Amino acid sequence: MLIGMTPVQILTRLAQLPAVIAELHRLAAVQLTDVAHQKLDMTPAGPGPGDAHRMAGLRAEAADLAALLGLAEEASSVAADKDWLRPATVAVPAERLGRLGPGLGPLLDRIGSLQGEYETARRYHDALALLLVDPELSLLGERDLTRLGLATIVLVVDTPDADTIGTLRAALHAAAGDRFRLTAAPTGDQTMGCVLVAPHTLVAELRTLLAREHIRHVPLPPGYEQMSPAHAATELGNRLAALPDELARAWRSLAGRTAELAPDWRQRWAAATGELDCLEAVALAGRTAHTASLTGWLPRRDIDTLRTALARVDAGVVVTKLDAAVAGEPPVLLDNPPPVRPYQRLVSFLGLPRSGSLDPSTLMAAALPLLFGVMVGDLVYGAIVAGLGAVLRRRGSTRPLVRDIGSILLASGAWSMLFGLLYGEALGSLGHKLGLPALWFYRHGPDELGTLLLFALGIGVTHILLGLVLGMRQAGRLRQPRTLLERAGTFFLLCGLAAIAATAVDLLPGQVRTPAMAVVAVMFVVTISTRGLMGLLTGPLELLGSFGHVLSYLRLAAVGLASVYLAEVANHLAVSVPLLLGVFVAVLLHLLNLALATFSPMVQALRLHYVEFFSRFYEGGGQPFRPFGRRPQPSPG
Amino acid sequence: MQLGLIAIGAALAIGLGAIATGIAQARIGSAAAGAIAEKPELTGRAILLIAIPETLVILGFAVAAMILVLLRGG
Repeated sequence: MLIGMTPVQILTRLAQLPAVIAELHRLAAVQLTDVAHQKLDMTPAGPGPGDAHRMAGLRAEAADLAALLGLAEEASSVAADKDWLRPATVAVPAERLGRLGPGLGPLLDRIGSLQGEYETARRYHDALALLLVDPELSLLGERDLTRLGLATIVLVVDTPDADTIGTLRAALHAAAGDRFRLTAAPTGDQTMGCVLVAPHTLVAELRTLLAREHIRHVPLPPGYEQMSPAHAATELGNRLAALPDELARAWRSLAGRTAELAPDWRQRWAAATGELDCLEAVALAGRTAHTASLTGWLPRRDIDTLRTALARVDAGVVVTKLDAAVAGEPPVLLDNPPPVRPYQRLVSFLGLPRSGSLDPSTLMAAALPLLFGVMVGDLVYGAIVAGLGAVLRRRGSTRPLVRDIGSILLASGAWSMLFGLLYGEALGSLGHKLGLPALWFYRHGPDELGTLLLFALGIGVTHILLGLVLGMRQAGRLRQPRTLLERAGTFFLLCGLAAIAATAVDLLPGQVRTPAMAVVAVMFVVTISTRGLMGLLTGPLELLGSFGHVLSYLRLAAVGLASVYLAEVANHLAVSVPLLLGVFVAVLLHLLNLALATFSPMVQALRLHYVEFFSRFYEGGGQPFRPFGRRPQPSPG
Repeated sequence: MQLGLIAIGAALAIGLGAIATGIAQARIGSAAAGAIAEKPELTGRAILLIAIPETLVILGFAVAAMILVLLRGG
């Protein structure tokens, strides 16, 4: 439900303003607004001398601390995932990093250097592994090289273009004639590996050539340059095997160090942002010669608590209610009982409801799992969904999103089980074949399609009529007589259409048809007339839309039947192949169906709420209540 | 023969609706994916927009069901 908000003015002695602001920050119960917007006869308090400089410093410190806390999380996650090659960086200048995180700079440098070495070693190792297929190269040892006065140069060139190697070869030929051997092969999508064997005298010339031709390449790490290709490949392989352990040690050191420092960082972040909040709040205050004033919104129920708390700071503090009509649009605070809270999140997907309108979370909590159950309607699938929900609820004790998903799945699974009993379904038609009786009707039955369609339409009519009733109530509260009349007209028109349809399928006696048609005709005129002249054009379209919205509930039948038929296919396939294969196929297809049966009905049930139901009454666009003093947890960047 | 034609009629009603839904969802889906990449908070609305064209296939289902129930029954 929407919590009633009230605008308040807090008057205090000028000297007590910082203490009052500090207490408001601690309470975190009031969303402050700018006094300048409240048409009060006061001048803005504004920041004091030196405050702007202090605030800039606090902002920078808070950003640094948030980045460091992000690094702590990253390090702990890397240590858990063993993803040692993830970049280790933090957007904090070196001088401040040294002050806030002593010892972190060298650790980050060490990780960066090891990662760089690993990357280079891997590229050269891969290149050599490909090139050493050539027996002449692979058998060439250091002694041979010394004896023959030759040098080897290994290059990984950053280009996938074979022409670059051709250019290199031509240039080498021009410089050294036939006194070299160049072997090249692609070693990746964007790289070519090369091994050049040439006289020592040509090495310097080759380096000049590479620079002149602007051939980008990664140099072989020092220490490997004097080795033969085969020896270098072995040494690089050994280094590659050893580097992950070194990286793991470095990351663990970083994770340990950041974990040590994180509590202090968190404390300092809270202190810095708290002080910053208080300084920013001063800018929202107004003042006279001796008094200061703050204005804001708070839940109506909390006003006495606020008075008591502020009286403890200064007995002279006065808290008065302001005129809501001139205070602007109130912020929105939703507060529902725990079973409804998961659905509050779903409602918020469309933006918060406007202040003074309806919060449909409770209705959604009642209807969404029911619609899901109508579609899935299977005892076994329902039990699995409910079980999954229960597990998620238990595991999500610290993660609200997971817990909320678990709660929704649990309720939806329970309704699916109930409708599974009503339809007599377990793993599709298997339950029915094994003797599970349908307590209401077997929707897969050859003559039950009509019943299923009528049931879906019945739910649609009821749901939309409920939406219209809520819309009428809301229009009454907001004093919108035209909207009230239009919704009432649509309500009775739909009732009339439903009655006519009911007479057609003998659910109501035929005598009802004539009065129902009269109601439809009158309400059609009423609905159109509420829209003025344009109503002649838009009214029929709107009514057609309402009719389409009711038909849209046929998806309850369609999605449900699709699930039943897929289960039927799984069951048929299972018995038409050898036993083991049959079990495997059946399990696979039922799992696929279960995944579809969890996702698709949930999306469809949400859509029926958002489009068909909410469009009758929901008014979004509310701004969330952000009490002064309650900041979200620090996030890097 | 008549039963076969009824079945083809029902299949066309739902099949053509499904094709139209697919075309619409492809366009909305790609736009929605771009929007979500920019603003992840639009995920809910994106799901909603993607689900809207499904009304076409649902109406196709309604027509197919009518064909099967009324014609086969008749």
